[in-house]
Amino acid sequence: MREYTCPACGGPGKFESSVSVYAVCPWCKSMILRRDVDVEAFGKMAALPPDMSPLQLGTRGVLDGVAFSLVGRVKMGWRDGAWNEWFMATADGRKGWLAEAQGFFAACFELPMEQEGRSAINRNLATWKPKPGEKINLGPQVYQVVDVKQTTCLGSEGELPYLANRGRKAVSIDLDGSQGGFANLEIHQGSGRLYQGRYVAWDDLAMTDTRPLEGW
Amino acid sequence: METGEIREQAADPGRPQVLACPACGGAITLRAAGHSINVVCGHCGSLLDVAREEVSILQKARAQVRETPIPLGSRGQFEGQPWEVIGYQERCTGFDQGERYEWDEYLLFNPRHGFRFLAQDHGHWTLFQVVKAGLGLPDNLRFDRFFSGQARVEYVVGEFYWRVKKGDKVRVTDSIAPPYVMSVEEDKDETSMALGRYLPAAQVAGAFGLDPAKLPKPKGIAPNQPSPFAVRVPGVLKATLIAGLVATGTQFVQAYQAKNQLVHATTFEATRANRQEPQVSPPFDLPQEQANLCLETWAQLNNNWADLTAILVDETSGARLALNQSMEFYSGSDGGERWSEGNTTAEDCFPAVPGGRYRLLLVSDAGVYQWGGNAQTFGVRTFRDAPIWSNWLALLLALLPYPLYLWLRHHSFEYSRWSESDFMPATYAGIKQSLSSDDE
Repeated sequence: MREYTCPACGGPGKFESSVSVYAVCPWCKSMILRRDVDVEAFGKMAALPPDMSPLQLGTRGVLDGVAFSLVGRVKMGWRDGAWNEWFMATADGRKGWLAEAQGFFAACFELPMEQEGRSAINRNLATWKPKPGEKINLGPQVYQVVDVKQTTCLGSEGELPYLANRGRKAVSIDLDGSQGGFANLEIHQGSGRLYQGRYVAWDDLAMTDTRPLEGW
Repeated sequence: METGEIREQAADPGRPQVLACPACGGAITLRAAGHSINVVCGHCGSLLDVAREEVSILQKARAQVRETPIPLGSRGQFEGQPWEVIGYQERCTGFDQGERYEWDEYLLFNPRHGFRFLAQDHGHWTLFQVVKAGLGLPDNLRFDRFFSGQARVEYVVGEFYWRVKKGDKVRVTDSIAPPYVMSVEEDKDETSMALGRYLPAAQVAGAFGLDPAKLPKPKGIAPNQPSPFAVRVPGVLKATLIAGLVATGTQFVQAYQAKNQLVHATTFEATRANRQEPQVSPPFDLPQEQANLCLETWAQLNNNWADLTAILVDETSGARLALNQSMEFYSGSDGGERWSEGNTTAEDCFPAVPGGRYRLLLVSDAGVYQWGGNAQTFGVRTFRDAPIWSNWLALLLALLPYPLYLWLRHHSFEYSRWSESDFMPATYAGIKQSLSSDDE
């Protein structure tokens, strides 16, 4: 954990996760970039569009016996809707996300894009135009492209491992594994982030400190 | 740490969003805010885009808004959770050719558990959940294809997390494993799969606190309606088998243990003159243990009948028990073929006779006297503690009809179900074909 003082408003803040590089000041909504020794503030984050999510910053849960807490959120928009990506600080230090879309939750963990000098995906991400049905190799498994979405960041809060400013555009590619499980590749300005995940039921996450929901 | 606590508590609670319809100004409650992207205004029927914060009109109202049978905003209890009705559509198949088939679908929402679809099809209800890899599917189900065709949206009101409008078409393929149905919907962009489970109408009425009489009456057999007989068949077969085995086991033990002791045997000739007088046996002693006393009677018969009444007299108390044995035997030839009917022997028992000293009185009558005959020969053998097989046989026969009845009813139910499908299994299709060729 690293504490900081917001350069814009002087309010106290902290990074819970060592992999976070960006945060939204909880007091003044300034966007804050983490640097080696200090932090830099730039611009303000607008309020996130309202939703009925049962999650909030600080919600805790357990996944496969490992405790996590939600420390950041990115609201992603695309042509036909929006979804939440919750950044998890996990007890074992992995970069995890809890995706919340169309009433389903999926736990995803980031995979390295490069291993032993070899790229995880044999495509030039700067020029690749993925098509549904296309097959690609990810490690020992074959994955099939099932969906390609042009996404726009609608806003973010808390702390995150990348700069999620409003209007950030990316391509989100959903991949289905031949042996079950799914992966997601996000391409932003020619560089990719790869996630592998699975669907999880609400009851299996043992969540506490969830968001109050009026009437529910 | 304290600041963190404050921050967490300061988070806004989630609440339904209220917005004004840009077409009619009426208030619209967005119950699944953040998920819903299309809304059909409940006041004017305009189709709105709510995917972004600025609401836009996709289609001005053209159709009248109707009250839905289960009102939007109602809550029902399923799977131990409350679900809120947020959208309603009427859909149909066979709109272009063949028979038009309509059903309704309610979209249900729970902010923690997501969405369900409650479908009402000719009074039959099914609760669907979208299938995602790894999220608990029931095991070992074999789905049989039941329907495949285009489905069209006929009417729509409320909010939806996908783009929906009247006239939208998708290809629907339903496969059944009652009470389950797997429904696959495909359009050019997407394939989605939902697993449904049949719900009795009373359960739906109970879940929403509705009067069951107000729900549409179930008509016919729904594709995924469980056969009421199928559930009973395994239990009944098991019970029948167990009863049969127990009876057989008991029977064999009893037959093995039965002493089957010959206590008296006689052959006598009754005559027209003395037939009224009983033949009296010498006294015989039966051992103390209570057991049956069985008579095997034989009469020499040729196209005739004979009756024998056996009276068992307790020598000590004078108590009497009687049983009657009738024999008849006819035979002849008809067009060169021998035939015969009846039997020259008869068997019957005095059940549970206590030990003691007894005599048998035998009184007879015979058809032979009416035909000028003078004598009738009888043979009587009396056994103590004889094994009885007739009760066991009768029990086995009595056990059979119910499972047979269930089996027939079950297949008749399945036959009716599959009569509505283009994918009738071969066995039923064979029956259907033979039935229709009989009609011609």
